[in-house]
Amino acid sequence: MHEASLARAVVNTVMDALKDKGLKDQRVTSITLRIGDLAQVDLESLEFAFSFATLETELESCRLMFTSKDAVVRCMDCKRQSSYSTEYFYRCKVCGGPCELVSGKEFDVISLELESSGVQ
Amino acid sequence: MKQLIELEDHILNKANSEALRLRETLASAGTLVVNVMSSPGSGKTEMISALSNELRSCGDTVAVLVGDCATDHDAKRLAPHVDWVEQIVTKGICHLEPRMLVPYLPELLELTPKYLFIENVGNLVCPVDFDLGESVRISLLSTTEGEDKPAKYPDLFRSCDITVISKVDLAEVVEFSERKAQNFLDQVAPKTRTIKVSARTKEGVPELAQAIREVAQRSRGDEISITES
Repeated sequence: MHEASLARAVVNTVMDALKDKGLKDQRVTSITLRIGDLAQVDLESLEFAFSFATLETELESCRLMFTSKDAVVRCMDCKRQSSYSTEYFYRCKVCGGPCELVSGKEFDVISLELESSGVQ
Repeated sequence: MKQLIELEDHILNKANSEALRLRETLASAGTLVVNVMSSPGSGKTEMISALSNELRSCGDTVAVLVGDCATDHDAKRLAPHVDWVEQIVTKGICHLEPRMLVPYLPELLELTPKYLFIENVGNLVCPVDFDLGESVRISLLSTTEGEDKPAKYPDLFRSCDITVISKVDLAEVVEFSERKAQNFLDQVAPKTRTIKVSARTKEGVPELAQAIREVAQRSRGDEISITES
């Protein structure tokens, strides 16, 4: 059910963006999302939930496209950046210091492809 | 004709703005919001009851919003120990979202409790991503569920300010190793404070209450920000 909530959030985000830009009546043919490795989003489940969330709406039959983002941590002591791994989690693999997450939790809409009806 | 629109919108922006509104409104009313998350059966309800008894013994008021997929069992269990409690039945949704809390805001603003505990739906995955307007996040790791839960579900434990090791009165019986658990917690959540609690014997309850009071004192009059999530 996690992805059902996320699918609804995708729909809300896109509808708000269309409204903000005065593009409410345009048909959206695809939505590209950026999803970090640690965003806890299963792509297949999200697509499945999205297909139900958009039934009989302006976004029905719109495709979801994905780009990924690697999880990267930075040591707060030695400042070294490295790939996140479940061997070290949030401890620096070099000095053992505590790490902060630089990237990997992204869950963003980065573009929409629109098909303008009636415009040749 | 095709047209490409570039955006840079976080998908949970709408939920996050609702959470921000909850946080600002409740903070200005003097209420500290605590989001309590853990797996089902790890002792959230008992811990909140014990904590509430401790906080109320000092004259503070405690409200609780408790989420479950079905039944109002937890609200009934909490009722004798708190000033106000409402059950949110999610009908299968595995976490609470800020929009589910909004309907209770008028009543909470009338009551203006010192503390609002949100007992999230028992789950170590989905609740992590939903800010509920809290200023403190607490996770529970019960001695009965094994020391490596933080390694299996790092995001949840990492997002919390405090991890409560619950049911410590059972530690010996279930051969729970506090050292192993602490090692896993140090790996996934180096900045999180650990407090051992038994809701049954009350071990650690005053310490936990004190930790929450300290956050409340720090938050009063200040701009409140939640921890990295």
